[in-house]
Amino acid sequence: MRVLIFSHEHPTFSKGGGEFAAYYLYQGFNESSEHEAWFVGRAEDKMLHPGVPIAALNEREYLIAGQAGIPQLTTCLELGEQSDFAYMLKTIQPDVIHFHHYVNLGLELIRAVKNLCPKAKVVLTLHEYIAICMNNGQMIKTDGRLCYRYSLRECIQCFPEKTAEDFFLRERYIKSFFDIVDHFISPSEFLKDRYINWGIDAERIAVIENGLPAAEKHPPRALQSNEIHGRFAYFGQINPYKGVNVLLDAFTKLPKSIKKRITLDIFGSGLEKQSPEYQKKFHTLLQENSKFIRFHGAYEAIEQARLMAEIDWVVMSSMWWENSPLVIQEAFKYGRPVICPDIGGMAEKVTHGVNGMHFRARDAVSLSQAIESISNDTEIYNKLSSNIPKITTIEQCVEKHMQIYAT
Amino acid sequence: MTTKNIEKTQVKIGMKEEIPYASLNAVAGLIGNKLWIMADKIPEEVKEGLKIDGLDRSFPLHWVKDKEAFILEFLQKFNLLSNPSFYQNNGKTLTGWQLNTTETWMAGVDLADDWRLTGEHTAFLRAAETDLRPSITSLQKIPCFEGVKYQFSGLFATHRANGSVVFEFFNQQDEKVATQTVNVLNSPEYGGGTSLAGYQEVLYILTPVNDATYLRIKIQLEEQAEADPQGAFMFFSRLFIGTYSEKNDTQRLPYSSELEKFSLEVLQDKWQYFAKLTVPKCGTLQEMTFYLNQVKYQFKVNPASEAEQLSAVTHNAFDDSDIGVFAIDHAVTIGSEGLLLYGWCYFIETKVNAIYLYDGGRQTIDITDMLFKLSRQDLIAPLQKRYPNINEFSGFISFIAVKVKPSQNWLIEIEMVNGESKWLKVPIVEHQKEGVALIKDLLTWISGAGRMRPLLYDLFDQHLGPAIDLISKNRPQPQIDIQQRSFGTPPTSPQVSIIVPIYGRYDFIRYQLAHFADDSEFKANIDLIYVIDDPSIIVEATELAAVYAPVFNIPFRIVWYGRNLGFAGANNIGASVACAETLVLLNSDVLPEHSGWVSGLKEALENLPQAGMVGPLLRFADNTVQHAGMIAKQDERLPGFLLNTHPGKGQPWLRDNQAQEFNMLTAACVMLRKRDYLGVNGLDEGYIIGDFEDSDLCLALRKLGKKLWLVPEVKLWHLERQSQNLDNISSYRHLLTLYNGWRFKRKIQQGHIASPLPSKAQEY
Repeated sequence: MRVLIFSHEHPTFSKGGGEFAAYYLYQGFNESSEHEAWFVGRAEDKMLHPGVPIAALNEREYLIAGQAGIPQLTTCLELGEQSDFAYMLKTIQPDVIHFHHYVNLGLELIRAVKNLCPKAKVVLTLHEYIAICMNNGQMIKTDGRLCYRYSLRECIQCFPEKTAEDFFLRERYIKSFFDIVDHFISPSEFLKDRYINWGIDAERIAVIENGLPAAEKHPPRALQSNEIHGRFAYFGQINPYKGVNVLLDAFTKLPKSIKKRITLDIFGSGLEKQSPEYQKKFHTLLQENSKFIRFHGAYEAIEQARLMAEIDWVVMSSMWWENSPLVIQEAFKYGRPVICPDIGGMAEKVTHGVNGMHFRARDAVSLSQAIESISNDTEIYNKLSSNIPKITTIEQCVEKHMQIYAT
Repeated sequence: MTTKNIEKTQVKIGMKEEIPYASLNAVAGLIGNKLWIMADKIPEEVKEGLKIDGLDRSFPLHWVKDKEAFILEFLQKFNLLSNPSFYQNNGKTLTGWQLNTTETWMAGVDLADDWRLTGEHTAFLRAAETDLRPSITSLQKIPCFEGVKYQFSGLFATHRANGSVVFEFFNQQDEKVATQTVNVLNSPEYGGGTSLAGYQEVLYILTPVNDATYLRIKIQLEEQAEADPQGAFMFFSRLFIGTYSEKNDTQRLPYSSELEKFSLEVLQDKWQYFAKLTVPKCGTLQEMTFYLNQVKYQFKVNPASEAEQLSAVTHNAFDDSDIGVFAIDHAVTIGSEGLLLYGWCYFIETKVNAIYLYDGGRQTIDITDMLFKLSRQDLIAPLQKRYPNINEFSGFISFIAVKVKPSQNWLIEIEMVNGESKWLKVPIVEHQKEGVALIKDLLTWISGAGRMRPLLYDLFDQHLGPAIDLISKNRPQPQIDIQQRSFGTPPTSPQVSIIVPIYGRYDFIRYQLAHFADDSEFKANIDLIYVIDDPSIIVEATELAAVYAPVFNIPFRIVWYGRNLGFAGANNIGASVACAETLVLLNSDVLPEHSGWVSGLKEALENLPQAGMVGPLLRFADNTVQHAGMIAKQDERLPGFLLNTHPGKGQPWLRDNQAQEFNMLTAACVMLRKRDYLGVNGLDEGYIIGDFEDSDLCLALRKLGKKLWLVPEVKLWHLERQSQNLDNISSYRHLLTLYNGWRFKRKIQQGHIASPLPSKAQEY
């Protein structure tokens, strides 16, 4: 089977969960003997040759132009039968065309591939809630509150300069393309439910967890005498949506007795992109708590195994619902329980009291109490770390995708 | 009334004097500067207008058959009593009155100098204790007109007895048929004398009985109330009887013998046609001679001496705190056939008699009743100090259908009750704009329209409507050069042409194509036409079409012509290039809820009884009803207009999907046959910018006996972004909608289109 995968970014140039999932899938297909896969990642114009929208990195990997922003999601590409896009499709002759995301690429590509390859199956993996929500697809209201449903009248509260008709047109336009997609894939039940609620038939969406390269779990970290499983780590972007400030607040609220026995290690990039006030507050909190909170800066995927070996818990405190956060799968892969908010894709993937702990989303007091209780409980770590589920490997993920392609 | 400048002689030629006047088939007379003509049928010579010898053109005569209105127009405010203050014979005898007394000393004029009003004459009745009561009766027969009310007034003073005024009504056979009496009560404080303060004013409004042809006034002294050897007295003067109207009951104009002739003549049953003409007062005309049924009429008109100086009049406003203010802000020619005046005025009550408009000297138009009052709250504060009774309705607008050349010297005469006149120059400008731009300008002048809601229909009916009609008629009709470009493979024999006008939001093309792309009917059966009715977006729209055509992969056309013709014009162009025999008129903000909607409508059009037009259920984005048929409504807040209502709008559609007949459907989405569309000349482009033309099309089809069906089985969304809300009339755009509404109503009244008022079966 010849599978063409479109991704909204290329993971070499952009390190998001969605593009990694797409790329792992591409690699997975190519590792099997009976399938071939191509990867087309959207790239900025300066990475392309002048005057042509497509640039091949090698025979199987392409970069493609696209500026389809969140409001309009519409392409700038020429998509007719004589276009560069058509030429590429004719070269690849795919049996399956799998879009990982529609942002950046543009919705029209879905219809264009239907026109140019009428026999090919078109599959779309949903990430975030961009079709549903114009506020970066996060289903958070512009005043910061969580959003529970798509509603024209509520959407115009978030964007007062827009009309309900603007949102309706956007919805209708997106749905006109979603109508011709053969199958949808969602990495989480939560995200699937949100799209069903928005109007996609439940039977059209399959849930397949993102695959990761297989690896052995680490055993629980060996403790020194008088030491507890008190090493907490944050992996991810440093920005307000990830709630790193909630995390810092929660740890600084801990009683002194606890602070002496635990550490928080922060691994992540993106701090430099935040506002000066945000950076200043972040650094102040770090300085005031330098005895037990440490900031390590960016990390590479290749370091993950070693970093996971040195910590006990992965903690996250995203302000939005998330979908299926890669960091949860990474933690489970290496046998580390996860402390996360009690909402969305995070609450779905981590079972409270079984393989991790939930706290009330956005609530530093709640997180602080959770840390305090597990720090005082000598039994809990072994209980939770022994219940960590197996992750979906790339091979399993490929297999599940093949079943979808074959229906 | 200024009569001093106009004298009249009447010469009949071709007939001898002995031939009775009564045998004529038409008569004319002159009262002041108003010419009246009565005829049993319209005389041949004046059918095209009154030709006056020596003038190179005729004066159009407007013939009316409403005698009562004609009478009122001439008689209003004039005293019908010939000698109300007993001036004749220098007050020596009671000329024109019959004395019903035993002795001559019992009645007369000016009993003594102490007993008469200073500078005037006062009649008296008197009687000793034992005398029979004296009375006097007017000899003059005061004509009674059917349906016309009269008002009587007079100054009275009494001594020791009540008096009374008796109105005696007589029929054609001079038989007394009824009387009405008003008492003058004896009141010591009104004892007469030289000052007005000694007299009471008696006012009475009377309605003549039906078969009365004339009335007489009888004034009599009643029984003496207290015994006194000096006897009883009653003094009176300034008697007035005239026609009464609620509009202006304070203004009184003196008796005129011409008027009496008129009033006697107009009573004759044979006169069926009535015309009037205001004779030019300034200019070169000195004598007017004309013929009616070969009878020559000749009236002398002495040009006013003041008229000679009129060429020097340059001011276009006057302000005299004894009279009032009058100013013209705009005087605009409309084509060469109309003049629109806009300004403001306020006159102190009873000061001004009439307002006339003069051209260079040959034409006079009485515009007294043609100034439509507009709300001008801005004028109250600056004028209130000098005119405490001024109200907000001191603006005016007036459209006068008259041939105008800007080079002519047009004047306005404000004629006061005392006969003097004020003159103003009309600052006529030939407006630089035309068509919609000019209409927009003049509608922008109308301030405070929201405060005149009950009067707005009349404002359009009398002034703005005819003016805009004329502008609209005269707007340049440029050559339309239709260009088009096809995308995809055009269908060879499409069954349906869909016409979508595009104005501004060309991105709607993209949304619609996205919704048509998966409907198989659009691949081969449909001729989809986007009509770009907006010159500023032709490039963008065609580029967008070029980008998206290969994506959506259905054939369509882009048609443009570099102009903005409005909704009606754009659809008419679309229909002119349509290939199919069936048309769909579709707004760009309508999106189908399902495939097969076109064939669904077509099936309905072919199968429903006498179907001339079918339309779907239209819903808002939130799936509530936007359109499920339209019903006309007489709006209490905008009396006169017929507005469209959308039953169930904004509420969920919970009814079954049975087709339902309506008189009107919205053209946001309708299907009809091209031959029917062309048969009624398409959408009427006389509606400006666009309202009501779809209702008009519906009613034009209804007039042909076609039925219109709502087909709720077929459902589309309509985002309706351009709806008009008339709750708050504040912009020229609202007024333009009202113009369209007025035009719509008039077409219904004139029978050009069917009435939209619902039959019982359609009531919701």
